[in-house]
Amino acid sequence: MMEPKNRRVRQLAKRASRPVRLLALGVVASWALALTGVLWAQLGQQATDPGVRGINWCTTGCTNGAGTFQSTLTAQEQESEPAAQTQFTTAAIVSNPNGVMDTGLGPRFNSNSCSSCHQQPALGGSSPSSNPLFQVYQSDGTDHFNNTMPSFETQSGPALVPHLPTSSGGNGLAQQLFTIAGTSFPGCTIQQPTFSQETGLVYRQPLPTFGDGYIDIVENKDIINNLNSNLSLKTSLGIGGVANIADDGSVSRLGWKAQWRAILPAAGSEEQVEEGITNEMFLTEIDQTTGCDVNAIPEDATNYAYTESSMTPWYFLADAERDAMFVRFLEQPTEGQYCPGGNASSCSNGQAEFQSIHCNLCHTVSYTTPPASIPSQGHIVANLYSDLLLHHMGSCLADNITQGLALGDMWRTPPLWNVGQRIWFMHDARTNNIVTAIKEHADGFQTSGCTGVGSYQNSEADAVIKAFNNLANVAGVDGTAQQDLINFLRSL
Amino acid sequence: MMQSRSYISVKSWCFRKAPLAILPLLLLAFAGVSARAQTATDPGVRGVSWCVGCPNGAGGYLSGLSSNQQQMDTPAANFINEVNIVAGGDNVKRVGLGPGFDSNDCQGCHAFPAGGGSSLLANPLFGVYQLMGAENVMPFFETPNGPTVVARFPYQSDLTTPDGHVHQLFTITGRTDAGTCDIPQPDFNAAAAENNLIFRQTTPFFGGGLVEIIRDSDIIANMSANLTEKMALGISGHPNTSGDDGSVTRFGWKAQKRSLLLFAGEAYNVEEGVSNELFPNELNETPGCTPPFPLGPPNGNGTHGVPDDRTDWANLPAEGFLMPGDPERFAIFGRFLAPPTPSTQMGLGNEGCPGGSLSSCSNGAIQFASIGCVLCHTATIPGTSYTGFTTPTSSINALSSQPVNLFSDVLVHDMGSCDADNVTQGQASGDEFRTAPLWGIGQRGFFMHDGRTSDIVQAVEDHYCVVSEQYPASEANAVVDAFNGLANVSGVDGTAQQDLINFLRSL
Repeated sequence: MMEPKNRRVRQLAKRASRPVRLLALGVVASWALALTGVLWAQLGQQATDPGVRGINWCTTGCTNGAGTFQSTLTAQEQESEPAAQTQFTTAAIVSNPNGVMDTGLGPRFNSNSCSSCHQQPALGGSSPSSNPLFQVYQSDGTDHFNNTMPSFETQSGPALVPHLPTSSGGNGLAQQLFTIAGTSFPGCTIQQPTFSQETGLVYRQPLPTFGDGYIDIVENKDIINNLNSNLSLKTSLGIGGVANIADDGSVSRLGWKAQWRAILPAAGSEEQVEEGITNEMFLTEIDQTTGCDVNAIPEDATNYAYTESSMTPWYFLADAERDAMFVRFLEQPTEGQYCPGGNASSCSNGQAEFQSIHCNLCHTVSYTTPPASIPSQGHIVANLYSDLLLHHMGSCLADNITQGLALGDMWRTPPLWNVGQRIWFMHDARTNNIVTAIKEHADGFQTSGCTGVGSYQNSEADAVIKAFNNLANVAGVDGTAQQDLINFLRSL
Repeated sequence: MMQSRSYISVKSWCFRKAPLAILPLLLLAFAGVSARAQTATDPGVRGVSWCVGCPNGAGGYLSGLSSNQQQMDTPAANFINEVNIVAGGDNVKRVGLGPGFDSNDCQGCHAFPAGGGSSLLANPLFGVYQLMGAENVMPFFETPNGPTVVARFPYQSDLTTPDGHVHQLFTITGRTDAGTCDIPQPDFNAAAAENNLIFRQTTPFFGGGLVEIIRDSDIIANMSANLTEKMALGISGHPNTSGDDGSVTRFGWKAQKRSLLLFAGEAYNVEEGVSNELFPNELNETPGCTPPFPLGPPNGNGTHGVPDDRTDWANLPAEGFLMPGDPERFAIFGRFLAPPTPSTQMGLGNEGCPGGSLSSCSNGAIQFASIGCVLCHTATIPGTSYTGFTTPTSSINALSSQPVNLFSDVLVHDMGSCDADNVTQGQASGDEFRTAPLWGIGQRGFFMHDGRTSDIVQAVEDHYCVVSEQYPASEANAVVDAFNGLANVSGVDGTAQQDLINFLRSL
């Protein structure tokens, strides 16, 4: 049986000043080494990925720690949870003459519900182990479509959304995979994009939404103060960073390029782009070909009939509002109780190494939320492991797509909370190996080849990844310090 | 200062526009008025300077709303009048003002000639800026009888890095409900001295529900219509588009917003400082200036923290309208507002046209089309082949298949350095502006994005601008030339130019 992680040791290491921390690390590492009897002969070996928490290890007796609602919501807020969850999970259909709820799929779409792509390891999460799009591409359960599956979507791969950058002749926006054309809607004859003939396609996988309610309200000044902290150290490591900026001048923070300011506009955009459901934020169909516009617009709207109906009051709000409500109330994911490798000290040491090689300069461990009008969301330490800033990540990760101030090679530091339970990594899900994912951060260390596009400055992560590689030569609790760091990440 | 220009000759104009000039000549024969080369004069604001006492034809709701939707009418109208305070009071839905703000309610800036309209003729900010002990001084560019304008800094303090955002005029410092908050107003004098200050006045949103559902394909088709005519006049234009779904954005001076809801979310946070579910944080987070404030209701949802405004879980309402946040309620109000009605269509007879003759406005409409105004200010013009937009089938029946005679192509156009504000928003560059909808323009007190003039003739002239080092010439130059040429063409009310102006003031 695995030993629960020693949180006391980790907390001490986290709080200690750097010299003290390093000393403590040495003590912990030495102690752990002696305890586990790891041979120095293991030094120099690259760490291995223990795999997905709950799938590859910790498969019994472990809680997944994700997908629950915030525990201190008020009674009234809790009353809205069923309606919100129903909204998030209900599969939309193209047209429903008996009502307007959950209708409006297409004319083009990627999937038919939020939960389809956001379900690992629980509702609100990331793409599941079996590609959900294979369940929806030729039928929404009611109607039948003529779609073929693009070659980049695989049965055991993640759900991917393609974009064609302007440099490749596209507009940079998501290209919807499927259409409603088929026997159910013979008047609609639009074709899927000819992906096989497009060169330069780039992809994005779904992001988990756990804890986004906290990210929503992190103060702008805290993000900027964090940007301006440890500047000498950051500069010496080649780390910069910049905030993406919303229309009101605040820090935009959700999405792969921090292109969304808040959950609600993200929900409106996703409903329109991923499901093709027009709504009160994005009101017209993306494809307006005659014969395919089978519904009045917007398809998702405020339900003015609420006052005459017996439905719960939450159904007065439009679908996008309830989707946002679901996400807003999701609790941040919690770390696992155990550490891969079976020794809690390995994760403690790994966390210390995470900081000692300065991963935390971008993967900021936590922000604390300000007082919130939803009381349960105020004064929360959100352990998101992200600075919510954009960084240059080099040509090998670039997608040549600009969104706001995020240039073609810039990405938001993805939050690492719950990374232990994610199956695929990087924006395009290029790997399911977390060790590879780390190496992909740096120019010249990619094990899967340089698959980015364009020519850009070196990745801001280069120096940190060099330090990560060097950890393979440093003794750790589970063989090497590098393995400890990997174990720590997979414990998240 | 006006740009120098060369007018096209009357002779060449007549050759180009001879067929279109026949109708005004016929009208002249009826009216017995002789042509004179005199620049038109602005008859002034409909309902204020002429047609005093006439119904304003604006601010009402759409006809055809369902009974459920009609139930929203009264609370929506009340809501738009809600004055926000920082904290306190007995209504938790009316708190959250500041720390920075431009005004304290929607109606303050969207009031003329009715709720949902444009800036009042008397600047309402003078009744707001020192309310409840606030220590603000009025910026030099706000005048008692001028428009309500908000300020933007095109560049950051280095005068190189783009900024472009609104810098709120006032702060809550000193207000009795603002605790210990102590923050200064922006230094607008310094910004002006650095030539880093631009202004925008408020836009009306009558008919906004119709505008937001115009199909993108119709907007693009209209852009591609009459291309030969447009090219000959130097008119092009392009849509501003959403970075989310690629659709045509259409609200705001640069068409920077896609929908009423997205527009409202930003307006609440920027104009009133009311953070909300679309923009959840305060724009100034100086300690002591962010919620909670001590006067907040103990169990309310307004001053405990951010966002100031949100879905109301605390009090499950009997009316659905009270449940969503302010931006959603604003959007419902705007969505249900009917478009303004031209005075010529209100059964007022000749009183419905400034010159005292409906024929003048009819001829003005023809002239509006003939000189090319309609190529950007898209509308259905009776007696011409020009047609405006029609909405598609809407899930709100009252919005379905309705004409949208907004007098705008909803595209952005180069307007030259004379109008440029050096602010880029989406695909709208520093000199590009959305074709301003002209419906309701007869009842507007101030014109152009910065409210620079209250004379509609001057506003037309201000569309003209020659090429500069930084920006191309205005796309409107040839049309403005033609407009000036109309001063030499006989019309019903003296000149064809006067008829055109009368027509505009009848809208």
